[in-house]
Amino acid sequence: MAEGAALPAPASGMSRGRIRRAIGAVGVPALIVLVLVGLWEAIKDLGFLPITVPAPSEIGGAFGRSYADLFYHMGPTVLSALSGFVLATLIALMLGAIAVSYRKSEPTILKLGIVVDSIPLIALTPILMVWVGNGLPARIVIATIAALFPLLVGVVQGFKAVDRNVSDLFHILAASRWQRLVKLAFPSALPYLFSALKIAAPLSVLGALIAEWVSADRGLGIMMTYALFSFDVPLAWLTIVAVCCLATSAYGLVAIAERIVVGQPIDAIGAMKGNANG
Amino acid sequence: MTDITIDHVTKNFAIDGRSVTAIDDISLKFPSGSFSALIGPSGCGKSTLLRLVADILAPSAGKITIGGTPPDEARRRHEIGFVFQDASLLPWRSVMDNIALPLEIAGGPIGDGPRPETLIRLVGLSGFENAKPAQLSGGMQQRVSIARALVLRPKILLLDEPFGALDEITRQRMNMELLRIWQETGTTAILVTHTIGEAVFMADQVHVLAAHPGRLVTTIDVDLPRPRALAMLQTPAFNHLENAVRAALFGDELKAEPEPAHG
Repeated sequence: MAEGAALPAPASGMSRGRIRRAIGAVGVPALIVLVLVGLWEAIKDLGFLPITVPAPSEIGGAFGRSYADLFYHMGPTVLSALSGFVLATLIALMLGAIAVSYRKSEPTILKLGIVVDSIPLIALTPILMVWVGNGLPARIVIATIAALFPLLVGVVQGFKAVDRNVSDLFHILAASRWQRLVKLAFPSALPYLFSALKIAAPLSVLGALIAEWVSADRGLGIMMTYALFSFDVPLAWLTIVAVCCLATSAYGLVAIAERIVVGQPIDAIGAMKGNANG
Repeated sequence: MTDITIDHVTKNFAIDGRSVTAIDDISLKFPSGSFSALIGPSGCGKSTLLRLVADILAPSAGKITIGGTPPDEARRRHEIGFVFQDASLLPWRSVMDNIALPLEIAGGPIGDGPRPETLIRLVGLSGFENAKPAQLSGGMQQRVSIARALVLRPKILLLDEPFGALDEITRQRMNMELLRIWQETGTTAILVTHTIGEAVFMADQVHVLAAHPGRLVTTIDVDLPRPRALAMLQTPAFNHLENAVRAALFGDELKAEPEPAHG
């Protein structure tokens, strides 16, 4: 009984070192971006940039003029992207569960994923709109397809990342397929799943954008197209910046969710079921 | 009565299209409530034998029975406890939740099975109920793993070099604990080990295996009284038994004269 416990002392709030690190993590990149934007502005002022590249101040001006339009069009894009993202995650979890529960189906499922992923979305979108109409469902389907493959690979890889001995233990305990999935495969897969979610989140935004290029009456994609056709260069760039912001926020939100679910000392399954293993 | 019988069991593995015999026609009996050790060099199939008993693997030929029934029936009745060489805990679960895992899977305690709280006390981890495996030392993790193996009150306890990764001092302590727990629970225990002293100290019977292919060399009965005490390690009787096991393991190699040094 005389073994020493390796329990680390609990972290006591924000130490000075952590605050300094936080400033380093946020402040330094912000400073770099600021310098680059300033440089861009200066080069434009000196006349070195073509007419198709506006100065940052012009993009800012476009935002001042059209921010109401921008947010009006952002809503549907967020809706399509988010729905596609959630749908792709559910499909990937389902297909991944099948792939690992019935090992023989795994190559088929992954190949199917590759085929779906290699379809050029810009060509598929008009065809799809003929089938399901050019409303929200079609845009969600495109966003789903755009996000699906990395999720599928992540889920399958994650479900397979189960320790062999623990897998044997579940066998000895005569665990059902469902118990194995929920108590072992899913929690083991979480780190892989989150890596895939971080890749897939921006992809679903781009998928929604592609669908809106083809057909939509609201959305950043259609706003971008209008701006291009009316030669409103700053506005076109504003929509590009907005899409970048959306995609980056999508990534950031998943990263925060990851920190909460994986990084925090809670039972992943307990958290999923909403009770802490009572 | 939960004795284990291994009756002319052979196990072949297919490696690169070739059939390799891991276990060649082994017959053994493990009496109910006894503590047996399997010892042998690597490649003698001792871990394979344990996995055959646990129904993780199926024999190529021969028959295994646990209390008169096939291993897969014993497994489904949750009669088998298994402790791996590494603790094999679920890192996202606390000590308490790791020990309770078999209960969750079996849908509740089997008969008058012990409560996880009782087991935590039994293996000396009181106060660490909510710790995560990563916060524990190797020895403590293995205690959790032993508690987990006992929570369904198994009739047989299979131990695959459970303390192989621990230092000598910790291992000796853990062995004492394990014997105490075994005597309290009255299970039939099989310990796989590659340490001669450990095999003699722990077991009623030491089965010595040889490698390539894995086969039984001999069985040595250990007639030391129970409960075993550390002081026994220094008795002539203990050394005599160790020598008997060593002789069975090394055979004629022991008798050979050392080669004279050249140059």
